[in-house]
Amino acid sequence: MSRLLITRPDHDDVTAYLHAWSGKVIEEARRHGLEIFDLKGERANRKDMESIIRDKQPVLVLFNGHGNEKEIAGYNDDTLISLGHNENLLDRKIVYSVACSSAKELGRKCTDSANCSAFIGYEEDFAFYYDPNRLSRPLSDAIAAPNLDSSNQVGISLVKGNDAKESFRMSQNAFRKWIGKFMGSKELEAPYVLQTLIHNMMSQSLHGNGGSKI
Amino acid sequence: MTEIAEEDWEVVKHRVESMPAHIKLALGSYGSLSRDDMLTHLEKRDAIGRKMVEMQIGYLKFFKREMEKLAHEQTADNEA
Repeated sequence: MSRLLITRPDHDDVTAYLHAWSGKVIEEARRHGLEIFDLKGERANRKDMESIIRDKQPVLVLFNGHGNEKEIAGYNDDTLISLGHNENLLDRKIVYSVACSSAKELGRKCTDSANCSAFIGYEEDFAFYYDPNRLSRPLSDAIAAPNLDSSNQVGISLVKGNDAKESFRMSQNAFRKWIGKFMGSKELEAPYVLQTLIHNMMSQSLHGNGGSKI
Repeated sequence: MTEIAEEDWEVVKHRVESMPAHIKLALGSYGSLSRDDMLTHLEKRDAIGRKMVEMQIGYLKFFKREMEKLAHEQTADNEA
């Protein structure tokens, strides 16, 4: 049985949205019989993450949360993975990270030298518009949906058994589909959402072996 | 650091001024920004302001590339 580790901090608006939306990936993973280690809320901390990785050896790791070019963070921005310190924890794993800019150095270097199988992430900040009035029900937020749905296609495709290259393609296609939809929209929010869709689509990248799959 | 043209700052400022007031921008590690927050950062021309303008520039480059691709395809169709 393939094992999935997913981190879902929820300490601010941004992570609360990522937490809620990545629930859809977990549902898909359950449907495909994966064993799931869901580090949500305060459990998205370095100690728990390292313990799961060492003891359970998940083949697929999905990171939600903040980050930068060299780090991926968890609850209250606790550093989970830091380049030059513990990126070897990602050895032989397929990783998808929404953490901003984490593909730029961390993703690139851990696939080049530290044996991470594949790393899909973003070279720049992941951005999305949302309606704060929907904060208690992020899944009903039509303004946030395009970017978060497109992002989700990576994880959904991977848990279905598709390889990293196909999963990247599925997500890029989703971004394009939403871009097409919003280009024709007369909604006031449309131009703003459109800009973030294009930004995220262009910034998303795949490093490592595109043939990697669970 | 690439210099950003004055007109690019102005274009983004006008876009943000027209933004519906009820929505916010989640911009990675910078957190959530209201319309007023965004205008403040643009006014200060700080790192967040720069990111916003860079996103706008990327958006325009995307459309330019798409238009060029379309024009190229149409030329190829006409010649066929």
